[in-house]
Amino acid sequence: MDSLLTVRDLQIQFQTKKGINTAVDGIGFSVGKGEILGIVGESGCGKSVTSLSILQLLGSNSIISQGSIQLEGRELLTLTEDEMCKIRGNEISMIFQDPMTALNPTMTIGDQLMEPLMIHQGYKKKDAWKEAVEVLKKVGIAAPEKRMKEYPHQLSGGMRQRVMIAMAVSCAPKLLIADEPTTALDVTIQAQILELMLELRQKMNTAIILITHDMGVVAETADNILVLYAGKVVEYGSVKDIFNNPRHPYTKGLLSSIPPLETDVEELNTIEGTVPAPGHMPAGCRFSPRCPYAKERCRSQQPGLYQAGNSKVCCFQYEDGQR
Amino acid sequence: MKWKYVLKRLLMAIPTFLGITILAYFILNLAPGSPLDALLADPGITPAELERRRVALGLDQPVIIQYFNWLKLLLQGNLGFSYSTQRPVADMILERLPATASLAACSIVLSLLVAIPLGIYAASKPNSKRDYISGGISLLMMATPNFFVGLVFIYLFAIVLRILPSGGMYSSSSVRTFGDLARHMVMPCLVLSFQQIGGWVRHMRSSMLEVMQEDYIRTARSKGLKRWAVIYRHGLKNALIPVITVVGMSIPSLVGGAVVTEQVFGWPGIGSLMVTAIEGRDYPVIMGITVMIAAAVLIANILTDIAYGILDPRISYK
Repeated sequence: MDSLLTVRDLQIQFQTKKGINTAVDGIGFSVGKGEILGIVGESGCGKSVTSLSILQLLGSNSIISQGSIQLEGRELLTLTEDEMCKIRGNEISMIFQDPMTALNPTMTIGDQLMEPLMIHQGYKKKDAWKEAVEVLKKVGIAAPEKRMKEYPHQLSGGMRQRVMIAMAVSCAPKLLIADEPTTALDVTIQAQILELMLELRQKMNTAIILITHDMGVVAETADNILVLYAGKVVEYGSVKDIFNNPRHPYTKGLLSSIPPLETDVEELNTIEGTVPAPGHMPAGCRFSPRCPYAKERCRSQQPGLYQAGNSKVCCFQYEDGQR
Repeated sequence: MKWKYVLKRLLMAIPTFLGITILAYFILNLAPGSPLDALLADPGITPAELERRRVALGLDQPVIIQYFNWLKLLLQGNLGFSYSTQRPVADMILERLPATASLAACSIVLSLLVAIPLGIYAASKPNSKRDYISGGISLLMMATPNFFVGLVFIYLFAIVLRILPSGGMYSSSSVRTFGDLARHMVMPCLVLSFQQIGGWVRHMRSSMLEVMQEDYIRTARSKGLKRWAVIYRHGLKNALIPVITVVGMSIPSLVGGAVVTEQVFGWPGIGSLMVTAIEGRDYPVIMGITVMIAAAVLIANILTDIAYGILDPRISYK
């Protein structure tokens, strides 16, 4: 697969009152054309920050202190704000977690949908309207003409997320970043939205970065998985490989905490302990305080990313490349 | 549907309105002094004459009866007659109203034109130099009393620079041109807007800052909109919603006459009429102005709610 987006050694820091916190430290991954990459991890592991940094939508208190983000070989981090505006919503677009708050309450669906078409595709208002109606049809919204004139509060949560998706794909972007697109929706709607995203990928060959904390969602949709923990890559490989043969103790923990459907369990498996707070990272492996296999070395030295099978794992157990 | 809503709101305002008149009437009668005090200045007046006047004005009756007599007249559309000039109160208010209304309108327009862009400008870069400077200036504007600003302006523009008249509405009663009116209005309008602008800038800034944190602003940015397009197309309308309340609430006080400003500039508006009426214990005139201000408050409230509905589609009127 041709690489569409390549992220290398990304480090993102936040300026806080207590000093500088590193939220994302040395993350790297790549997304091929039409590929779905799932980024998984607990809250605060740096998933959303990573995704926002691709479009440079982070707040002014954050800096991308090192690394590179390349779209088809073009470095995004050195682009000016105006050049970035041409990429946002056009080549890379994004959908967010909560469709209830992600749409402007004082603008009609139509006005909001027509915006990217008019900015990026040079459509006049009349053509933008027609095109927007088409896009709404594409994402499965009934009576699109009527919906165009309505305001977000007149739509259900699932419909709003469809509108968000319509807005994001209206300019046929090469990459769609979906930041927990189903978390705020109820389960039946979740499945529909995921199905819609898969369908759009088929039709438009759009690559998708799917950010979630739901392993089930990733298993169903993604090609590759990037597991993050406390701002670092823990394991990176194909869905098949990681689900069949999880290597990193954290990934194992994540997978075993999914309750099995077939059998009754007395108690859910959990990973003991909590994610270290930013500014209080352990000296060695960041997972070592919670890791059942941690050794002396894990606590003092940081492991690198080692090749293990077809995956990359950040754990000393795989230092020699076997297993 | 909207008209039905307005009608409903107007009907709901009637009890409030009556309540205001009752309170105002009784408080007025509790205050020391009497409309007859002015007559006492005449050393030749006899007790019999005083008594005759008291009866003629109806002041010998209990306050409650006086109130109902006044209310009966009001329901017939009659605000009564001034104790001091014997002229109909309605006429006296109506001839002062254009002066006050034009001043109020100018001041609102000016304040909005200055405060909204300035608030947005300050909010566009929070905690920056521009934010601190505009914050400092608006705080200073809010904290400076009107009479002081008025005096400084008169000194500066009328005495030192001699470019504006120091007071009044027209240079002479025979020449009544628009240009002359405009020249006279500049200073009172600026003074009246001074504190208001300071406050509104702060409101606009904080409202804008809050809105810019919203998810839909991030969505707008993710669509590739330029910074100012995000602010104007997505931020402004949402940020104006809370500001509307503040603007709406300032309308009654402006219509009621900016008492101090009108006094300083000798502006022949409601405010100066009110001051004269209070000094002379001219109850019908005071009540007449109170009624007018009460009506302005109630109407401004309804207008504010309607403006809400125009800005925010989530609000519907049923």
